[in-house]
Amino acid sequence: MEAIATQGLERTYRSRWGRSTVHAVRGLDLTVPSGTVFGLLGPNGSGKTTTIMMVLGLLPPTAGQVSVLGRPAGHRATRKQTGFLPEETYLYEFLSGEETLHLVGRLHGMPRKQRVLRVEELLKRTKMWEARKRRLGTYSKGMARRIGLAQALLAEPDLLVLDEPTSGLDPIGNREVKDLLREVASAGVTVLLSSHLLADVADVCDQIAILHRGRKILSGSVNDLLADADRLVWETGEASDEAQEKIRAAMRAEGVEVHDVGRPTTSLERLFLDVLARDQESPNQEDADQNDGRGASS
Amino acid sequence: MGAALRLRLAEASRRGGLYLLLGGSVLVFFVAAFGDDTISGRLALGTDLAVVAGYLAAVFFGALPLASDRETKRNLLSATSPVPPAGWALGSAAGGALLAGGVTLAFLVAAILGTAAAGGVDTHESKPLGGFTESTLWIPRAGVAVQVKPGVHRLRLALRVAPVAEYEGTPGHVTLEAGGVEYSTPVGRPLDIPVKTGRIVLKNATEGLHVGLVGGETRALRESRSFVANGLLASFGPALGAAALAAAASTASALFAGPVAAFLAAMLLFLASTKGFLLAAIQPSPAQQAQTAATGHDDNGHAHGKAGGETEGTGRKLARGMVGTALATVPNLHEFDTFDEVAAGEWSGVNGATTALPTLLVAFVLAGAAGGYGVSKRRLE
Repeated sequence: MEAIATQGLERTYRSRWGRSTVHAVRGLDLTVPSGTVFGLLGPNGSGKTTTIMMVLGLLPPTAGQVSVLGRPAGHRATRKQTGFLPEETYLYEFLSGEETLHLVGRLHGMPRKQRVLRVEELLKRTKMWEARKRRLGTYSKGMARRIGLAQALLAEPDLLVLDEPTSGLDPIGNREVKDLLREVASAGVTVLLSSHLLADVADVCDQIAILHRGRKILSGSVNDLLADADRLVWETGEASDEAQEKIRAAMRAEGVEVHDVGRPTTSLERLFLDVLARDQESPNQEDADQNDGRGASS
Repeated sequence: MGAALRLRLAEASRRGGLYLLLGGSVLVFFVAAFGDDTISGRLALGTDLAVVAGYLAAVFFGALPLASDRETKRNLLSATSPVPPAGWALGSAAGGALLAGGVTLAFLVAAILGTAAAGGVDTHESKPLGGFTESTLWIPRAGVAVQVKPGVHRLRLALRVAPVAEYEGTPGHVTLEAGGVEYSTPVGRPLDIPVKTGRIVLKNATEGLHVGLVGGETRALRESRSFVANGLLASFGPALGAAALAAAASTASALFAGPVAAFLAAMLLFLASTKGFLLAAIQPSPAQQAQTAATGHDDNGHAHGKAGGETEGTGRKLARGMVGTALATVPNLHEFDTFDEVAAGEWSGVNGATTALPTLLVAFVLAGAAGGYGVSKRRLE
């Protein structure tokens, strides 16, 4: 069953006096299956955010239809089942993180007991428990993003719509958000996200659609789209020069062309996370000195 | 609705609203305690300052939150939630109304306490004089017997002088004698007479002059009441008026974007506070009224405006009718303010509040209906 389905979706913006017209989305047919992580990709002005706004029922389409969770977009029952994180975290900066989540819980009509438990769970899950009493105005962009994500998840939605969810996050936060999205998706929640960060999309999305100038120009499963049918990669352990030469000769004899042999590099993200993890595990010299000093004085 | 209400209250308190409230209250208290030579003058100064500040706060608390949400796109939070737009608009209007009403009430309490600290006003509950009707009672030179009911301490007479027959000129003061004691007062001012006699005699009238005890203003002061209680109860009228104004400003803000909403809210405040003046200004002149009453039409038998000297043309009548009709839809904020009575020592009670209550209810109905429509239409602005 599809969580989101659009048919011939169009949105045209006209200036106040009708002098200029912008076709933000043109004839978009999109199907987002339930329980998948679906990525909307495209350059600036390709119609991603406009599509998201129409899916949320915030913008009426100029033409076409949108169905969300089996109902027309913007239906009250649909809004109850939908969590949304906008591109910028537009929240009330005079509230604390905890108060923000309680506000969203009240907007969704959550009973107080359930709300308190859920808020605590999400604050811990998004690593915001320590900063929960601070006002949002004092948060860094990454912290505000985490609270934004927590508010989107608060009402245990069936559909999560995220506009650039990892923008402003450091690599650790980025990894945590991506892990969280996979976790949420594995629980059966449908995720629709738009992002400029192609690596993020490749990491978490099951399916993608690429938009350009308001049209869908490509869509499908990430694995299928990224698969390269003309190449084959073997991953082996260490091999001597002699062994490598023998393998090459055998392959040439079989008519297999070897394009490249080399040592794979890890991703910068992987390297960054590994270094930080190692540093976390072993106390640094400064900490060790301080510990020694305390031990000497006591 | 509850979430929006709590949000508006939290915003006001977190943005220094409590300090402003405290500072404003202290200022009003001192103005009411020391601002004039007379007690009634101090009360008038203090309450006028409180009411004006409260009404300005109403425009601020009413118009700003929804406009600010829209400008900062924070309205996405409510727009993507299951809260109906009418609920959000009503909650915001209720938050603004509660803040505006609370601020106005707090300032007025400060004004009442300030005046009380300066001595207060001797206050009585008054009733129409026993035995008198609501119509004017004339006091001839020979005097008039007054039937006083048990429990009446004093009489409060509002004196009017009316010429009869050939009388010309009006004395500046009227002197009455009651129980062998003379009481003098300027014409038109209330006069308190301790009730010791059943007969009031007019002392300084010339031949043909009668003094009228004007019905509605001829009252027996029955019992002494608390000035502070009177002032506090009277405070609810302007407080409810401010609440209604805030709800109306919130509706304007939901319906119209940015500067247009601010302009409409300010115009609403202006019209509501100057309605009496504007209505008086568009009335025909006394000469025009006199001619119309005498002839039923103008000099030439048709409308001709200035050419007719003292008559007005159809165009002016039409314009006056249109302005009058437009003003009829605007509540008169001064009707909710009964501090003139409080300053005169009359028991006012909740008269102002009962006058303001229907206006407040209408403002909330509009906030839910029209405001909800505006919120749903302006979600992405």
